[in-house]
Amino acid sequence: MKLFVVTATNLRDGAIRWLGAGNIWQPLLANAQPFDAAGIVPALAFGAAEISAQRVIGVYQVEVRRAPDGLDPLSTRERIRAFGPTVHPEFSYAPATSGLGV
Amino acid sequence: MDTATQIRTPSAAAEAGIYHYDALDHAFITRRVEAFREQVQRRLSGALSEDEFKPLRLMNGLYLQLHAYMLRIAIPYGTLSSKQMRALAHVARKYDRGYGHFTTRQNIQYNWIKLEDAPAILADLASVGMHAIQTSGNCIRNVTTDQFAGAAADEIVDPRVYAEILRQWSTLHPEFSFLPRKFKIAITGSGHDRAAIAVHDIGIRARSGPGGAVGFEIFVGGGLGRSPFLGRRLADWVPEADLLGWLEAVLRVYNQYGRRDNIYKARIKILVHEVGIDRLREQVEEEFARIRGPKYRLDPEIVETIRRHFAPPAFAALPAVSPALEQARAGDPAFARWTRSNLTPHRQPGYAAVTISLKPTGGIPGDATSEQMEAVAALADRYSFGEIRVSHEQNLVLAHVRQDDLPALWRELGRHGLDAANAGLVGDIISCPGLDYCALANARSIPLAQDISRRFADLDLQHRIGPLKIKMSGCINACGHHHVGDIGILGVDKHGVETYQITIGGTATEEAALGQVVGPAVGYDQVADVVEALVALYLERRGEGESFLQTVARIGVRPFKEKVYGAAA
Amino acid sequence: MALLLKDGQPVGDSWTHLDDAAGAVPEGPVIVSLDRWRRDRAALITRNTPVGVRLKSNQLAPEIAADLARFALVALEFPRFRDGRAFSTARELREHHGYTGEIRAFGHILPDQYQFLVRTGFTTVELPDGAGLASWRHALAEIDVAYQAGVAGDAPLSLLRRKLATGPK
Ligand code: SF4
Repeated sequence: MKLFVVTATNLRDGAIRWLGAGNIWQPLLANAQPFDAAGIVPALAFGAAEISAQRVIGVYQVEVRRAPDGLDPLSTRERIRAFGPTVHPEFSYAPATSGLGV
Repeated sequence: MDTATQIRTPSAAAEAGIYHYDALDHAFITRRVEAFREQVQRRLSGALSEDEFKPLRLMNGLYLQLHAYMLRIAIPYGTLSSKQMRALAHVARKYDRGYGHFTTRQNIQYNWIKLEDAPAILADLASVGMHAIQTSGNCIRNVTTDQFAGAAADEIVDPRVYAEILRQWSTLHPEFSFLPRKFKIAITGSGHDRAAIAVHDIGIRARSGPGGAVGFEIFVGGGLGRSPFLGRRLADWVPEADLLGWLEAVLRVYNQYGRRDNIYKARIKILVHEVGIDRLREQVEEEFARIRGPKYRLDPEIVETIRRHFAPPAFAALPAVSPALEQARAGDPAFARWTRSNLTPHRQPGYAAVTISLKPTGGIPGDATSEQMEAVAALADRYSFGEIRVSHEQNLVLAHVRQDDLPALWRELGRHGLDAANAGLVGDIISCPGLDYCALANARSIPLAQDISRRFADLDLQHRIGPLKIKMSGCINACGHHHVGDIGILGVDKHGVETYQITIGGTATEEAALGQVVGPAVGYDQVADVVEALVALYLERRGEGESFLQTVARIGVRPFKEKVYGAAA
Repeated sequence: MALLLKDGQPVGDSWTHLDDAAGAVPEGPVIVSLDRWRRDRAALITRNTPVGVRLKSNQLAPEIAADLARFALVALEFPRFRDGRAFSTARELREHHGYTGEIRAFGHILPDQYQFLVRTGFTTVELPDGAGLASWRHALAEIDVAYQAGVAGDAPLSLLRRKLATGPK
C-alpha cells in the first residue's frame, strides 16, 4: 500500500511544514500523519483551505515509506526537505533515517 | 607603526573604484524598500495572495527555495567597498545562519531568510547603497565584468566605467523590464576574457581605436541552459557615443520579436538561432538608424564623470620587483605555492591582484562566514584601498595589493581559512547550490564538489596538474556553467535518482567552446572517481605545457571515454 | 465599467470597445480590433466619427503605421503583465511614427508598471476590475528618478539620471 504525507511551506518564514494529526502543521516529518491514497484527499483539501487562509503556500503530497526509525520520503528531494541540507550537518532537522551522505 | 602604514590607514574616501551613491540614488532605493515593506505587510495580513505577491517579491530578489526564502543581493559588476562587505556580514549574522553564498553572477545569496525579515534586511543594505533590484525577473540583470578590472596588466579599457553606465541605463528601464526572458550582459576590457562574454545574451569587448577612441565589439545570443549557444558577433566596432543607442536597438528588437510562447525558447539566443545573425543585424541596424540622435547618444561628459569614480587609487611608486616578496617566496614553499596560483600581474609596478579562494579543501564553493567577510573587509582596508571584488568563479579579489605586503596578507588570510592556494586549479570548483537548497534542482552539486575537492586535497598535486576548471550545475539551468568547464558536471534526475552527465573540453574564455559529453550519465557515488580518471588520463597523455583543452583537442574524447568507462564500470 | 486613469486621476471615457461580433456600430467614438478595422475600413472612415484601434500584444506598430493618421486612439493590450511588448509598441508609435493621439493600456497590468507606461508614451490606462485606485496613484508618485530618457524628454539631472515630474497632477 502506498503511503503519503502532506507538506507545505509556512508563509511567514518559508520553513517546511508537514501535516500532523488533528490537522496541525508540524515542523518535523516525524510528527506527520501518514495517509493512504484515499485518506490523502481530504488532507489535501484541508491544505488548500490553509492556502486560502494565507497561512501556508505550496501544498502537495509526498510519497513515503515506513523505515525502522520513522517515515522516510522516497525521493532525494523530499528527503533533503525532511532532514535538511546534506552539506551542513549542523542545520539538519532530524537525523536522516537512513543517511543522505551526511 | 611605520609611516607608510599610517599613510595607508583606511578611510571611506580611500575606497578605490567604488561608484558612490549620492542623496538622490539613496532616496531612490530607500523608497523601493518602503514600497516593499508595505507589500510584505499586505501579504502577511492576507490582503495579497501568493499569486499576486510572487512577482512583487521576485522584483526584490526574494525567491522561495527548498528550506526557506532566499534573498539575492546585487553586487554591481562584482565590486564592493569594505563597508558594504561588513553590511553583508551583518545580514548573514543577524538574519541568516552566519554565512552567505557568492554566486557565479558576482552576486550574493542568503539561503535562510524569513519573509517577515526581508524588508529590514533590504533597509539595512540600502543604508550602504545596496539593493536586490533586478536580481530576478525578465529584465536586464546585474551587468558582470572582469574581476581584475582597473588592475590587470593586460587591460586595454577599464570595463567598470561602461558597466556602471549600463547599470544606470538598465535600472528600472521603462521599456525593457518585461522582456520575453531574463537578459544578461557581460563586458570585458582585456584581450584575455575573464568575464565569459561568449555565454551572455550580450557580450561586449571594449577596445581602443585610433587616437585612443573607445569602441565596442558586440556579441549576441550566447547562453547556457537547455540549449547552449556561444554568442555571435553582431558588430565589430560600435563607437562609444552609440553604445546605449545600439543596445536600445538590440533590446527593442528582442522585446518585440523574441518568443513568448515557450519559456525554453524565449532567450535571445533562440531568436538569433531562428532568424539568423545576419537578419537580426539588419533589424538592429534599421532600428538603430531610426533612433540615432541626441536622445540616445552617450555624452562624453557623462563618461568622463563616471570615469572619475574609477580613477586609479593613490599607488606608490615602487620598483617592479619586491625583494621582500622574493625573500618570503624563497623561505616558505607554502607561501611560494600560493603566489603561483593566487596572484595576477598588476599594471602598476610593485603591486599584484590577489585572489582569495573560497574553495578550501572540502568546503562549500562560494560560501563565506560572517567572520570571513569581516576579515576580508579589514584586509581590504589595510592592503587594497578598501575595495573588494567578487569573481564569477565564486572567489573574492583584492585588486591592488603591494607586493611587499603579500606575505603579511597571506598569513592573515590563513588565520581565517582563506589561504587556499588553488585559484584556477582543480580544487577551485564552480558549483551552484543544487538540490540541497534550490527548488529547481534535479541533483545535489555541493557535496560532490566537496568530495572532488577532498580527492585533490594535496596542493602539490593540484599545482602539478595546473590550471583546470571543474564546473557543476544541479540542473539544466546551468547556473554552475558546466558547459564551459574543462570538466563539466550536470545533475539529471532519472526517476527520482540523482545521476550526472559529464562533459569535457568546454571553456568560457576568448576561445569559447562547449564541452562534449564523455559517455552515459553516472551515479552520485561515481562522479568523483570519474573526475579522477579524467584528470589521470590528462596527466598521462599531455604534451609539454599542454592544457587540458589542448589535450582534448589533440587526442579527442574517445581515450577519456575509454578511461572512464573502464574505471567506473 | 473599467475605470480610466490619466495622469493618476480618474477621467471620463467617451470611447466604446466594439466587439468583433457586434453587428451595427453604435454612435460615438469606438475602438475596434485590427481585424475589424481591416474588414470595415471604408465604412468606419465614412462614419466621420473618431475611431480607435485595438492591438493584441503580438500586433506591432508597423501593422498600423500606414493608417495611423486615421486613429484618434490606439489601445494596446497586456494579456499578462509579463508580456511587455506594448511598451515597445507605444514607444515606436511616438518616436518613429510621430503619433500624437491617445495611447491606452488595457488588460492585465500592475500598478508597479504605471510609471513605465507613462514613460514609454501611454496616455491612459484602463484599470483592471477591482484595482485599487490608491495603489495606482501611489505608484506614479513613488519613484521620481529615472536613469534613461523617456518619451516625454524628461529634464536631465546629472549623469544618466533624470528627474521625473511625478504623481497625480
Ligand atoms: S543550475 Fe539548477 S540546481 Fe543549480 S542553482 Fe541553477 S536552477 Fe538551481
